[in-house]
Amino acid sequence: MSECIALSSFLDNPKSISNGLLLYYFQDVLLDTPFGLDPNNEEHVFDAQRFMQMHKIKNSKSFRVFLHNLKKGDYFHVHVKDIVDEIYHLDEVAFTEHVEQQKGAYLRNRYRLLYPQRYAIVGYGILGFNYALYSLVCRIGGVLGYITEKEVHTRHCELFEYISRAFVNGRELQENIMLGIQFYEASLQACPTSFSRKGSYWNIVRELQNDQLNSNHS
Amino acid sequence: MNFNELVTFIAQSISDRDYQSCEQALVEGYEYLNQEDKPLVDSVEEVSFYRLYIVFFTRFIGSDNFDYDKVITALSVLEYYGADQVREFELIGGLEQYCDIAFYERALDYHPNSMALLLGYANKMEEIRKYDVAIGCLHHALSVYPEANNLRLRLWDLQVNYSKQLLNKDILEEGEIDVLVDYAVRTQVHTVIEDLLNHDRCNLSDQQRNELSIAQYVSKDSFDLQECISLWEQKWSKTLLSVQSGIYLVDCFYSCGMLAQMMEVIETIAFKEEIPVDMRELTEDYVEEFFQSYNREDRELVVSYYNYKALYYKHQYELELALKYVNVAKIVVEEHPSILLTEGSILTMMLNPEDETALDTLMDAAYKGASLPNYLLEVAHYYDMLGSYHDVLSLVNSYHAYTLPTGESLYLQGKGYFGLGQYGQALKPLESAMNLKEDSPYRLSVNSLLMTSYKYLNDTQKFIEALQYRLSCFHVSRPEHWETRNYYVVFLYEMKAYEQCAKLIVQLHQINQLSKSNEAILYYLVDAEYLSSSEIQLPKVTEALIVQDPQSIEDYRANALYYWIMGDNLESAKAFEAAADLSYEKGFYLARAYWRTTYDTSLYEYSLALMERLKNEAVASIDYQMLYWQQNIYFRNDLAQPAYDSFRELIMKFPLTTMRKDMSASHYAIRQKINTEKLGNESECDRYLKMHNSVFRPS
Repeated sequence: MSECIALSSFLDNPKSISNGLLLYYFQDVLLDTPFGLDPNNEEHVFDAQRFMQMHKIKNSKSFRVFLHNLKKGDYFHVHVKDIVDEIYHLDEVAFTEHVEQQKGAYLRNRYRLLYPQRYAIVGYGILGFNYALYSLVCRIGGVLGYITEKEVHTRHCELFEYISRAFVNGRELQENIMLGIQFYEASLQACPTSFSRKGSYWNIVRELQNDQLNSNHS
Repeated sequence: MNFNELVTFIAQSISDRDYQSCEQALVEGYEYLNQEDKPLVDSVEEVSFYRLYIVFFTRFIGSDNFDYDKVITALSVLEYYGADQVREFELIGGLEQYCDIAFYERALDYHPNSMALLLGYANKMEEIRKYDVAIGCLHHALSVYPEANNLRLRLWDLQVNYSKQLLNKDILEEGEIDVLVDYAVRTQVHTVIEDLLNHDRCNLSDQQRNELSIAQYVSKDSFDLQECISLWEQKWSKTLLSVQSGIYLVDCFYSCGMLAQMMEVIETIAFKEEIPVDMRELTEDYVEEFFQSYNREDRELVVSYYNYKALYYKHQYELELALKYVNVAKIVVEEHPSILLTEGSILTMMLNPEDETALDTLMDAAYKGASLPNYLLEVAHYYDMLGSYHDVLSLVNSYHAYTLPTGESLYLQGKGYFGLGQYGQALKPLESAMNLKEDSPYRLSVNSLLMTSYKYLNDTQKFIEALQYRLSCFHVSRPEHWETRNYYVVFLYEMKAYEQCAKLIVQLHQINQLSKSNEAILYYLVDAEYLSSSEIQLPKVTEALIVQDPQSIEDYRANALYYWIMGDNLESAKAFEAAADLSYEKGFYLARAYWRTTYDTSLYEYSLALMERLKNEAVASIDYQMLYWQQNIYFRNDLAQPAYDSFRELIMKFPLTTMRKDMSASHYAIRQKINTEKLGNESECDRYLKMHNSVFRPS
């Protein structure tokens, strides 16, 4: 029923889980290719390197360690889970006090972002973001020669199993990724509908869905 | 175990995460409380028991002992004691597959702002396809929690479904058409837009047609700015626009830097009529109607509207006016992070180092929820204005830990290194900023920084490349084009590439585009005969050309050159020295000043002071001639000791040049002989005399 990218579309092409993130971080991308960027294009390789630097991935070894930990639910997901466990039972007054004790504007923002949604995400934290980032890093790794096309494919098949265990439909997954991005950037800023070319993540997802809708009908 | 201990035990085991024994205790406790003959239990304990009961069983619904009715009973006991809180409702509201609509309506009556309850209600409404209610519900949730961007995706989904539902109806009412147009503009789904535009059954007004075609246009894959502008001028500007479609266009023009058109669009935006929301209507029986009729402007769009208005004036450097719109926005929406960020950036531009309100405002924005990367960048701009470049660099570094570098961040990084004088380091970020694919508004600033860095690093080839890029950016009709060429003239002059400089300057002079200050260079080149005076006719240099109140390096340079041509060595030297203070090419200007003074022997003290400055500040630009003249000055003024020392320094620094001619050695020997004689050092004097006799060959 839902117009959102149904989960089943991931089955034919599990790589499409990271299409949104790919568009979010890079300027021109090849969505349909396994690597997402062109390994023969110098600029693309440079972009990929900068992205890896952002997550402190220096070589093939740290690349694999990072992937392993992401899939296990380390980094962002475990951080969210800890915070949610911490604030799950607090009522609003207790929560306000609790936030006041946190140091730094950005830790506070993260608490305030998660608080109203704590019931909705207590089960799976931001696993969706972790998985999407896993997929993205995995694909980009191919551009730098850390991974072969075949391995990208097998890893995504495995990833699909994980995703379908945690999420019921594509919308839930995309919402989770969006929350993950906001958590990562410690942002409470809203992104209203805006000119889609320089969009926020949700604009990108909407555009992807619009594309799908428009192509289905024509 | 009495009941009191049981409750303590349960609370303890929950915090220990010993869920198995906890479950057992809860089941026993529940049975105990619901015996036929109700035991006497303290109400406080009963309340805390039922709270724990709800907390536990709403989290572990997979358990065999979970029973929805029992949970509801627990809630009603809490209500009976008046001890129910929003938390219990939210926890139960999370069990969507068990709760019915009536439960949510009852809960929303008590707690209209609870995200969990609103979400649950919206989901229920979506299930029974009452999309309009669900949409109103989510709109309300977004107005309470604007940061919950993930709701917007759900909203989009609902709006698409609702539009389709409406389109399938046979007869559309007028109100429904308005809603349809509104949602079609928001969702940008082509099929819906086309259906609306092509069907005669709905009588669309011109404004609605314009809004729809804007939405259709901006969602296209290809985007052509010129086409967009002409469409705007011929078609879309004729009617008022809704906020949503207006903001599409504003965004579009702003990102292309078309500020004038952007302001025109802002002028035509008309807000919906504000219907004050009366929360009292939200009682149990009216929840559905309340959300159905929920019709308020999206607060974020209103924020964007004022934000763009302020940004427009900020870019026009009308900062007071920009601040005025920020303050208006602050009244409409309190303490919005985007507005606070804009205010901070405007205050940064009105820089007043004593005044820390800019930084305070930015901090405030951070506490109100501005996103970390945006905040870091704004603070980096602030420190850039203050000239505290170490801070800029560390802020940009942490920015790069969160997002990929953008034109803006790379510009700031380059500026940071540039400000610290590390030109070599600055090249890397600046060059990669130039190579970025996206078109950033900082590209020209980056280019001029890059050009100056190459100049200081004496990389002529790269400098000219950067200059060519700048020339290519500006059409001949733009003044910037000629500014760049004039900049090139100065560069060549400072590089002492006088022939090249002469060629360029004649071209500029002939088409009358030579800047006022560079005319001095033209006069100089003619005077020094790099240009023949027959080729170019210039009036005689007189006092009238002198800039009376020199401020900038250009003024001082022009003055220095005019004085030079008029033969006033002292004034010329002074002006050159003042120019050196303002210039990065210190050595060049100090050397010019030094040479001026050497023409007047009475100025020898000034010459020596300039030489001292050169040695301290620009050693690299001291050449053989200058050092030779220094010892000459000492010698002529009977300063034997410094003359002796500086001749030795000269021969140590430039041994080959000093001895390049046959007679050099004898010249050296005789000078040092006289110096040592004056000092009364006889043995040295003898030594130099012998040296002189051995090399001196009279012709």
